[in-house]
Amino acid sequence: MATLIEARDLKKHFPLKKELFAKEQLFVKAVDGVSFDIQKGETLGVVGESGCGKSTLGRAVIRLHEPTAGSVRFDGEDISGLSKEEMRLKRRDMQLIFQDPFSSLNPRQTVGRIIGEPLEIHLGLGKDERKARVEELLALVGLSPYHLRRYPHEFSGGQRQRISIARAIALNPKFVVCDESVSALDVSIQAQVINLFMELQEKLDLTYMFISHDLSVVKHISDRIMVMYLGKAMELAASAALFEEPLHPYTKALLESVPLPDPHRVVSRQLLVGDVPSPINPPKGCVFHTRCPRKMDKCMSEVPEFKCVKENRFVACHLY
Amino acid sequence: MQQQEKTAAEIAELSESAEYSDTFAKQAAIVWRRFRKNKFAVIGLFTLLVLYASAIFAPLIAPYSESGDPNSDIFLIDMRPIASRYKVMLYDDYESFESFVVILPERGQAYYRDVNHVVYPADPEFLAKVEEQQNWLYDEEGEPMRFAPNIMGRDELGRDVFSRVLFAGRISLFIGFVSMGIAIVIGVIWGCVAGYYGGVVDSVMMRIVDAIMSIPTFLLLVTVMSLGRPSIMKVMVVLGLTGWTGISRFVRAEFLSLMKRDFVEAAKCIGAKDKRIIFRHVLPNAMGPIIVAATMGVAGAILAESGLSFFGIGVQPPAASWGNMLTNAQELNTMINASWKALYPGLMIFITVLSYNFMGDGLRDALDPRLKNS
Repeated sequence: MATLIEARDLKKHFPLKKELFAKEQLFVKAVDGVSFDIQKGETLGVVGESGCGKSTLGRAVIRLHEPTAGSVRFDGEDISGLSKEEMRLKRRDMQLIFQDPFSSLNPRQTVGRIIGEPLEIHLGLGKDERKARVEELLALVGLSPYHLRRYPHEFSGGQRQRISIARAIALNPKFVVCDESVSALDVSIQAQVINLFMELQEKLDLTYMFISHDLSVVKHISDRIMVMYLGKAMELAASAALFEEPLHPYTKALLESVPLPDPHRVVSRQLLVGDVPSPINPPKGCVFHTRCPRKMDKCMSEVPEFKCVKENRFVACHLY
Repeated sequence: MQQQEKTAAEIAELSESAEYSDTFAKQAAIVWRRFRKNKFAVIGLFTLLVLYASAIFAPLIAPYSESGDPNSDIFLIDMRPIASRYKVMLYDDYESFESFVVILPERGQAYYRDVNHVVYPADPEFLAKVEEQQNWLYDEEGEPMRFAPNIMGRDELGRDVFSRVLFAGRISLFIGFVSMGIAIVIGVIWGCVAGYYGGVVDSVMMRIVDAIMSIPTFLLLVTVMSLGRPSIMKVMVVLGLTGWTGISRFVRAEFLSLMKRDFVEAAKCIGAKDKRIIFRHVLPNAMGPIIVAATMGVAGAILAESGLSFFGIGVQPPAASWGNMLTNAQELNTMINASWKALYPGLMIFITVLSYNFMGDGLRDALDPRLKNS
């Protein structure tokens, strides 16, 4: 299996507004040195708490946010150094599907125009060709051809998300980042949309980076899962392996926090205490040491390396 | 059954109303269909059309010329509105040593006025005395002169107010329209660029706006207008060049909030260029407030012009504008004894402003597809 995405030591730091007379410029370290590969045709799930840098990572990979440091190779080509115009043309191969289907569609455009726009920009299709292709796409995501004359506000959340998906796949991209793409939908619709994602992956040979805070959703759709905490990758493993045997203490805590729909099952839960530290001034050493139940002295001073501990299994922890 | 037919028709209209087609003609047809549903907006549009038409065709409609007729006007200063054709006699009362102007309309009550312009109804006894003198206002052929109705009365120089209102409309409406056009173009472009690129560009551009705004506009207008000879062109350009700052501010604000919406990021993601993002995605969503501001702005420009005219540096007499007609009628005496001189130009400004506002509101709603069914 060929590698589609190779991200190396990706960083995204957002500068804070400098206070008057402040000596140094402060940064929010949203993503702080994350490396991973995504194989062609696979789905990489990215999980973590709110504010851990999942969404920023997703945008940094496709350069919708300019990474502060690090490199991304897309299909063997380094896209970090591409000019704005080269990147614009490259965008047809990588797409993003947003969380909020109510703000990701231009309220002034008909669905036909929204889905047709990438075709117009990149392929320069005429009106009739565009219409034919848009109808095809609508059918592909489970909407009807007559929908193309409607405006986004006439649709439900699930339908809008389908429109977003149709727009994203219009140019047959190789890689799609789904940024919390089902989080805003209610559960029954979530299931439909997730099934649509999987169906499309099969039909169009797509590669997904699926960002979510919902572990059950990620488990269902992902081949491999990356766990993030405070801008850093904690663990990367195959989906089944991660849920069966979580290695990193944070992953364990995260999995234990999932509510179980069984009132009789008693589980010894080891819930985390305290809050996530500030990403402006993250803890020294391992960023998780402030909340880690298995903290050692080493954790407070040395940054654990994100290393391969077993086959296909990466952990950033001094325990391994 | 009837209910069902109606909904079927509505569905047909709905599917037609939001066509896939993006040709301008079809878009315009859709907007017009929605616009038509707002009664006030239609009334506003219709009124404006009438106003503009009457301004354009003023020479054909006006019963008198703009500058009046010095031979007869001197006897008819501040004459009250009269809706029928009339003749005029001059009468000297040798008993009281007073002179009177006697108005003899073809329909309605005859009346006479003394030197103080106070109007009295003429009783038959008085009319008989007047008839004896036979001192008509004559035209060139020696016949008693017959005057066209003065439906809005006459002003302090005896000129027909109605004719002057028509001619003034030409200038006022034109000034409002053109100066707002200039202001909108500059303001929208300035605001777009500042809001879209943000950062340093935004800061610098907005500080320039602040600087311009901190200059008292009216004093600037006065200064610029008093350099050289005042002209209508100058009024329009100056009003346009000073009126855009407010517009650029809220276009920028609108941009800043819209730029945070996901659909703008989505547009970047599908590879849209800056121009496309600005003009296809952000600007159409900011159109509502721009249109409303433009309509308000036209009204503001008309009022600003009247202010300039008040100081004698706007539209120069004998040319009329609603502003300078209004300012000519500001003394208390005039307001009490010849209120028509202030009433009609004021009414025209009021109607124009109101019509623009109604139309602006209607247009904003018509341009917003989300409000389609309400």
